[in-house]
Amino acid sequence: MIARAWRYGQHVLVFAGLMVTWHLLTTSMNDPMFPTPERVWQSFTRTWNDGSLMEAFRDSNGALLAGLALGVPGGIVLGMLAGYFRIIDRILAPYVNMMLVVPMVALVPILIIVFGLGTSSRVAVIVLFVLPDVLVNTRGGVRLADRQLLMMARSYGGSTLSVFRTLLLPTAFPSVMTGLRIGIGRGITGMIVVELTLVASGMGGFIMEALGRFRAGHMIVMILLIGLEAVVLTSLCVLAERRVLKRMGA
Amino acid sequence: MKADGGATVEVRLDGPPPEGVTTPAGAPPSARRIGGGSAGVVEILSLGTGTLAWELSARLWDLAWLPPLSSVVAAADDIVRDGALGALSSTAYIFLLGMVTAMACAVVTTGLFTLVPAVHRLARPYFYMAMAVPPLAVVPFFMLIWGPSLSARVATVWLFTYFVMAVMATEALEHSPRDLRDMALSYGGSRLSVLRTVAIPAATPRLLEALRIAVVRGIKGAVNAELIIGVVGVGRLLRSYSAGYRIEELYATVLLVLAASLITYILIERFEYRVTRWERHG
Repeated sequence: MIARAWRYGQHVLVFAGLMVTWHLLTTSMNDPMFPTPERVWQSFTRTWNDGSLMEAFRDSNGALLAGLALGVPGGIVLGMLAGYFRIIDRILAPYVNMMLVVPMVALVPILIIVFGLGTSSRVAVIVLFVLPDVLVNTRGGVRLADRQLLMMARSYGGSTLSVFRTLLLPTAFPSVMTGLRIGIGRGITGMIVVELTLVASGMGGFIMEALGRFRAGHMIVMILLIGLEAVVLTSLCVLAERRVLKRMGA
Repeated sequence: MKADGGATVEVRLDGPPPEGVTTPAGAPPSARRIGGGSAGVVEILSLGTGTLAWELSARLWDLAWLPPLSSVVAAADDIVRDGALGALSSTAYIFLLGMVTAMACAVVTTGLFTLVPAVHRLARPYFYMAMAVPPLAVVPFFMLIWGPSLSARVATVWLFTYFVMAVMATEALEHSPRDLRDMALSYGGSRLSVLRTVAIPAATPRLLEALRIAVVRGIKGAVNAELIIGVVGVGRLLRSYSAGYRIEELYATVLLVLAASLITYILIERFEYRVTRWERHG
């Protein structure tokens, strides 16, 4: 009990030490580019009260939700097919590998030209960022299926659809959730990429506006909010995964 | 194999690799590697069909946003002659600077975390949080501090690569065989010598995997930084062609970036494959 309290206490001490260091450094520098923790808190309360913080948050997350709603099911379906049918995997492989390795940001200007400067281009970018990770993880999960069970299911007359539903999807579930976790992180990156580079709106637009007005405090508030959102969403994924696995008896 | 009903049962899932054949270090069993072997006929046909479909659809429907592939290749040739390689080399320069700096910092951090586990335990939440934040969100802050300078771009590549290298390298060393480390310690080896002679060689495959992932992230960081900061290199080309609606040149620049990224990735993968040969052949 005491050892546990001491371990938590150490983390609290480290956090407090970091805050004090931040305060002392920024106070001694007295540079508006490096705001003190108090200035950052003031920026937070100001942007919270005038509604600009939440407006940017809502704007970005609308596009993020739409992108996830298209990219995640798309990635799962393609990943299941690629994991089960070797030929589909081989057809998709060159494109998927390219999408994983190359900087997708280079494609953003092309997508803007195709879809325009509205929400659809932001959604398209997010889909492009989310889909490959979900696909690859789902494919890997499907391949973990027990071959003996699979043969048995087919030999007992199980249709392809029922094999997918009763054997492959449960087997692949942890991998799908891993893909979802990575995909959410990538989706947030895609959302920020497009807003920082070409469509100045939402959270990225908020940061660029703060840059234009030399408001370092506002910028730090938004960076922290983006980080917090990423941590919360991925933690929710982990929680959901644990609950479902527990219910499945895994 | 015939099932009860007479239907052919075909198991299409990839089975485990044949005995004696292991997948490359750290890769999941299903991972297909780009540079690890020659591409199959289906993959080549798939790529060929894709390029043919691109060329034909661009010519048939005359879409404003989709130039024919042949025009894009011609444009790529033109912009290479006009000095696009200079832009690519500028991107490569900041990539290298950022990678070298991040590697040096990651080596120091990993050494510290491995030799003093308490520091690792206390710093771990901050490292995982730093990895959760999209590095791009921080780029404007670098611009605020340094302006659209070399420092801002190098710092972006550093941010893309440092945390992933430090976290993966520390985990690789922590997972090196404990019995070997204990034995070396019991024979009087110091923590530093055990790290140097036992832990690092045993963790080499995972360390190289960390390097490969960091290289991919570093390339992405370099292109991202240039696109956001947008005054030099590939980012400047992409921005200027996009703003001028020069579609063929825009596609050509994207193709050049794709080609450069793929070549770098294949080279680092070949290097990893060669260095970890001992692990596959014993």
